Amino acid sequence: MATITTPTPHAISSAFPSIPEIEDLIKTLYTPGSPKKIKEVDATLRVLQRSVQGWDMANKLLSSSDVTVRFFAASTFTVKLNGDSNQLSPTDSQKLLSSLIYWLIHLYGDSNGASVTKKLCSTLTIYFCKPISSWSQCIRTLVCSFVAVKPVLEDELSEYPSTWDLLPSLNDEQLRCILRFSMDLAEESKKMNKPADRSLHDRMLPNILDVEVILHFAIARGQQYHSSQDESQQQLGEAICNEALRCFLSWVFYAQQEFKDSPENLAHIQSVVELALSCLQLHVDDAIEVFSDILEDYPKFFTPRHQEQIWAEIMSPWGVEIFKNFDDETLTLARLVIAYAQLLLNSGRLYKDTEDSQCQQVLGVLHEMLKYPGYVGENDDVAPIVADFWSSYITTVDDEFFQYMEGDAKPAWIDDARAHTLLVIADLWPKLRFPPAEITKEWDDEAKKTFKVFRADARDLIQAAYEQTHGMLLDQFVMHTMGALGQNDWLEVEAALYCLNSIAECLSAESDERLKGLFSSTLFDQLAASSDIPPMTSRTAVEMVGCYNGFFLRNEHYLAPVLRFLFNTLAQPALCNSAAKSFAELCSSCRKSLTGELEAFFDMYRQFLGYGTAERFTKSKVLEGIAAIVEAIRDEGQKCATLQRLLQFVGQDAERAVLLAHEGRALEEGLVLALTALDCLASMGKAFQAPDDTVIDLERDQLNEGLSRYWCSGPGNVVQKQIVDFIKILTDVFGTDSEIIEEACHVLRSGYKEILPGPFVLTPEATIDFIVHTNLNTPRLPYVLETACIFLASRKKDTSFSFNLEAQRLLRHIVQLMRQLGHPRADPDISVGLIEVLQRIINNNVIVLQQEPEETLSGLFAFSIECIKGPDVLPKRAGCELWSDIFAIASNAHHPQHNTAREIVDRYAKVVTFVLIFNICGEVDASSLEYVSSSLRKMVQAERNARHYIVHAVENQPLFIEQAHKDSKIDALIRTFTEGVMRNGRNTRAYKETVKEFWSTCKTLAVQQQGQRYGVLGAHQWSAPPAATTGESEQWSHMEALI
Amino acid sequence: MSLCLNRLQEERKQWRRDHPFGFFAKPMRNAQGVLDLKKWDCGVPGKDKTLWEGGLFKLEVTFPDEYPTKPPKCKFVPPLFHPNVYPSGTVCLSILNEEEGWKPAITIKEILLGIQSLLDEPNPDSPAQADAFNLFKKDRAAYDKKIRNLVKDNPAP
Repeated sequence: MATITTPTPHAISSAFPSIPEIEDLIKTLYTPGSPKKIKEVDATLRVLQRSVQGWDMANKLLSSSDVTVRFFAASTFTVKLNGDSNQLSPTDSQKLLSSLIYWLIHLYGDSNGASVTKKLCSTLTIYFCKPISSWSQCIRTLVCSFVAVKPVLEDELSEYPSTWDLLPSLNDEQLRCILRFSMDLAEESKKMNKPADRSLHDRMLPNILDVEVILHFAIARGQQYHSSQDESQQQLGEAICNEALRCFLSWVFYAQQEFKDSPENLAHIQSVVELALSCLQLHVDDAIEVFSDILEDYPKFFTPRHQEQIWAEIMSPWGVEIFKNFDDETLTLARLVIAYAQLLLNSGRLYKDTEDSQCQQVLGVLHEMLKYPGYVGENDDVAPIVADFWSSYITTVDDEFFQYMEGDAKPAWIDDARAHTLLVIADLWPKLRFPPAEITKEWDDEAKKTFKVFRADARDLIQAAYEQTHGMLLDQFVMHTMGALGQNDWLEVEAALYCLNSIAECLSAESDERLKGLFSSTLFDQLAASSDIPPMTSRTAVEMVGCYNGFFLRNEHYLAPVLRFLFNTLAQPALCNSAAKSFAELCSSCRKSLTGELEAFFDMYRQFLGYGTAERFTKSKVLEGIAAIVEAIRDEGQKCATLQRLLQFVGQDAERAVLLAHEGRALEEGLVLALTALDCLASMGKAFQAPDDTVIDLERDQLNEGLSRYWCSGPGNVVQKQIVDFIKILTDVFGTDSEIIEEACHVLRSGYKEILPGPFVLTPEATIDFIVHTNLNTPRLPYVLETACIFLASRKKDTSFSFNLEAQRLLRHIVQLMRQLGHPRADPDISVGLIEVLQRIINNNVIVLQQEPEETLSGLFAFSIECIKGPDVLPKRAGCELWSDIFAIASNAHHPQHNTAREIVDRYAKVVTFVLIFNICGEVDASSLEYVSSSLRKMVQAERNARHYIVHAVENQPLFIEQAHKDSKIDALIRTFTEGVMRNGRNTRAYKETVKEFWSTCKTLAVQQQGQRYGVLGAHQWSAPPAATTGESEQWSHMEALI
Repeated sequence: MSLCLNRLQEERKQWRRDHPFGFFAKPMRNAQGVLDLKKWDCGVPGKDKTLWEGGLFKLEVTFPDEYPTKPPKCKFVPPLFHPNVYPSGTVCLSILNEEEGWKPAITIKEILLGIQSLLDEPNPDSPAQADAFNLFKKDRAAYDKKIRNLVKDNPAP
């Protein structure tokens, strides 16, 4: 940190403080106290660290008797190295190294100061990595220095015996210190992987032999201690082995990065493998993890012989014992087995080589590891990682299998692979089952989440397994369900249903036969009747209904028990929402076969209204289901009568809502009832929509006309009137609530996309009446206007006189709202809606514009132009899109609205061009540029005076007005842009590039002009453009090229 | 295999190996039942301790041929009520914009996590739909209520 602005450094005397003073500051820093003071002291110490005297200060502080002071001193060396080492001369650099080594060999044994030793080791590696360093034989330097008890630098190393011969003279702490340094050295150097600087890695090479020697020596010493009778000696031995293994691991990953093309260097590290492997049997803490890490991330490090040795270790009595114990070490070993198996899987050997005894052994172990007692989330941590591997096995086999085309001879291994897949599912079975309630009730959130994640992953596994096993798996699940049902084992039933749900989306009609046994069983009746069903079983059963919708649609006579079950579940607060949703979906899918049961459904609904769970969501869903059945009644008269009975339920809520409002009490309850009524209507409207796959006979115009008369002006009209009345009354009373407005729109919208007439396909007046009653204070007005757009789009082909009258009413209301708003900035989001409605009218019913006075039209278009000119993103885009459409219609002579659009363009093209150019001259942001640019392009195609308008607009922008016709560069810039735009009108890419380049240049120019205005920049200086992606000089040359 | 498909194959493996809790992402099957690696069916759960908690929102992620040079298109199906989601359902997020924050190294996991964060932290500088943006600015209580209803309509399993 070059300067410190805050906090203010603790006051220090103008002279550099004395060492005792600094020591006091350091002690204050590490002593609890006022945060403000500590911040100040910290700031002061940072200043001191970075001062010229910092090096000297660190050196002196290292001799302190206080360990925190020594730690701070070692940190200071790190800070200085990272911040100021470039200023060191080669002599100073050597002195610094000597000093750091001096302190390491004097402080390493301090049992209280382990952190200081660690810091010094890491500081030495940082020194090694700095450009000022020429240090090369680092490990040998330290070995010799420890032996000589003084810093021995590289020019003296030749005077000492070989490293191997020196090692026995090192005591255990010195050896551990060198292991730590060697580990840090590999890790720190690995980070320096810029291709530009290879010198550091060249300096690493002389250390390879030394690290090999150190690792062999250290592991041997550690193992020797470990075999002693003395417990403390054993512990020391284990600690040395552990540190050696961690150092080994760091060098392995360094080798992965740096020795790719150097097998001879790699061999030095590989030579340690066998000795390291022998640490496994000694139960050295990190040994298994070290091998797992390498197998997972750098499996090629191991030769085939090494790999055989690793597996032999796993299968040795040592490994078998760990498998038996089922403790923490089992989990660690499971990871090693999985890493090993993954290697075999990646090569394909694991599933293709069915005769390979080792592969069979590996697969056997992986099956066994799913059979530990206990529950995931409770005490089995092994199953999730093993299941994860099996998932990978199954999907790999799936992917490979799919490469064989239908009709190809299938590979011989597929049967074996499939057998393993089926076995895995059987292994997993007990693990998927919810534990008994007495166990789960003790679970915290973490345990619940672990179990849930495990089940979700298993679901993916089962789905992948289905790809290979098809009917076999389905039969297995059905059998399990039936078996568990027979024994009233509800948790087992749950697990079986969960598995069935997992594969539901893979099933088609071909599987129906296999499912009939299950769905004709007493499953749903038992679920509906028993009182001791665990909640999770009911939940999974409800989910099952949703998953197997298709089956019930194809096999409707299985429906009755399912619907009874769902109705029963509606009473349960935790399940009512999903039960209601499934009920609606099922009734909707199977509507035709349920019409005969309608009376029973009415009875059930009345019963349901007595449940505490009969609320807005559930009511609307259940009514949606029943309405779908009503929709399927073929006779219109009967349909109308039944629907009216259904509407009575809605009426009850609506009436009560209005009553409460009139009485001025329970306002919240009244609002909820009003929302319920509208929500129910919207859901019923949805139920009456034609299914997406319905075939509509458009030839049957006469019939359609009859239908239309029936619902709009015939006997069915009473229903439509009722629906419209509900909307009107409820919005009159509760119209200040945003949800009421939204729900009212939902009811109206439900009929828009219908081709055939129906009770919810309301007349245009209904929508327009609703919209013209809104004003600027209506909540969700943008949603209302969006509804108007959808309405107009749905009536695109309606050119009738009566419809045009409605369109005109809408237009006049839009004009009125614009007038009230005054300016788009007053409410940008409402402005967007207004412009979009206008855009729809222009596209479909432009004739209505012709009947408006000139003044109205001027107001409308001026508003749209203000939208483009203003800073708000959405109105700007909407305005541009409106004008894009107008220009497009004007340039298309075949368009029915062509003439009117032509007149509008003749009148407004010039001014619209002006605001479009205003935006392109740097005003618009990058994300909206395309809208502006596209609109201008359409103008060019539609308007013969385009060139003139563009030039005029550019020259009169504030950015150019003073320089146009005075500065040749500016004139050239304008000319290049105009020519480019005119020439590239039909070449999208070239056109966009022309506009974008000009826009970017204008943005840069604007910044420059602003700078000049405030005298910030000299006349010839060029500032970087805001959010520019190109460099300064690049911008400038680009600009010059343009001019 | 093209760069695009190779990368998607790798993304699929990575996702299987490690994905955040409550999310899902898998290639869709086309009408013939064949996996289409360039079109994924994804689900983003609402973040814990936010209004969106408990909801699961479905997205279609479509990868262009130029992926990963160009970003995928992420579209909520059905379109989501959110200030930064276009009326079509397309998500407006800087990391999904080729000219802003997209980098080929961004993974599907990061994209979906980014979208999850966006749910509760709309960016008022990049409005994409007037309706949600308007309610968000004008009537936060009504906006919050609307989100709670959305969560109810799209519950996480």
